[in-house]
Amino acid sequence: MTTWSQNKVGCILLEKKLAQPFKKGDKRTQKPAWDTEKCTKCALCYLYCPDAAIRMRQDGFYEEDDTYCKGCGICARECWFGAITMTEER
Amino acid sequence: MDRFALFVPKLLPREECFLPDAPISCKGCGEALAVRLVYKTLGAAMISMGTWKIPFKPPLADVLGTKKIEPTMPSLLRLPKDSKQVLTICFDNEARTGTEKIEKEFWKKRMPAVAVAEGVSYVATACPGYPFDLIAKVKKACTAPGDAYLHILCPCPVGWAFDASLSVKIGRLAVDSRVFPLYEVAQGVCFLTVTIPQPRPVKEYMRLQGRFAQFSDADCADIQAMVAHEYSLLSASSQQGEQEHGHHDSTHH
Repeated sequence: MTTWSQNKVGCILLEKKLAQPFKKGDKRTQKPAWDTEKCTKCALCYLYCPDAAIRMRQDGFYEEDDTYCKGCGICARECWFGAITMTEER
Repeated sequence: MDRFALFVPKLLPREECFLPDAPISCKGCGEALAVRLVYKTLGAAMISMGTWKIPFKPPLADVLGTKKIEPTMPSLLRLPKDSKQVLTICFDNEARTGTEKIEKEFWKKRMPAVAVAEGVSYVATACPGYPFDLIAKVKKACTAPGDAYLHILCPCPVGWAFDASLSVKIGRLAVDSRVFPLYEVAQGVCFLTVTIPQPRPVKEYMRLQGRFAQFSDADCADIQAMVAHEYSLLSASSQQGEQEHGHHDSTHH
């Protein structure tokens, strides 16, 4: 497990193309949930996520990544179609 | 057809070079979003040559004799373009003397104007509230000849005291209220990339943030007048540049 003190300055990730080994999203209180009937697969949530925590599923819809979603709620506010709601973390 | 640009988030590169990390960015961090978009545009090969710099240390540390200097986050990214040309990107979260101590001041040092006066050949301002504008400017700064300087406004939920989900909206509101106009100066020719025909009131931008809680309505009116004055100067020089040089190749909306 790599910790934050071993990172490069500027959080540059060069070795792997995904930040999978860094589990950071375990302190959140909310998490987003997608309504697939309203979602148009426009990928605005993917664009606006500061933590790169939203990825595309096999069927083209989007889902959050538990390892680094911090639950900020930007995706829910920026979604044009209201397809994302923030649900309480259990 | 070269006058049109495509704004589709799906067609952006999938590659992520930014490592999100809890001790470095809070939730809803505007700077993390800006850094992520810049990294995504530049690609891993170019970022690996870049260095992060601390812009300046706290000014009174030497005078007061205090040994304890607050750790400052590096917020200047310098990337070598060619042999001697450098692309400098400033991530500005408007934290003047530590985010917890906020005095009654609104205006900051005009860093893009300083860069233009220094003779940097491509200077632009950007904001993650307008992501495609930011991406286009980063691409143009890479290809433009000579040195380049980018000034990116990054909303900071902790320092500016607003809800974490408003981060992108506040950045957009800063542009829509003409507080932070998006423009570029290429070879001394100014051009407003995002024109705001009907601006939102500056008060709307200020009342969403806790850091401006001590500003009265009269202060807001003063700032509104000053913002209108600054914007009129900028749009006048933009129109002048457009008349002299005519057609622009950059097509932001």
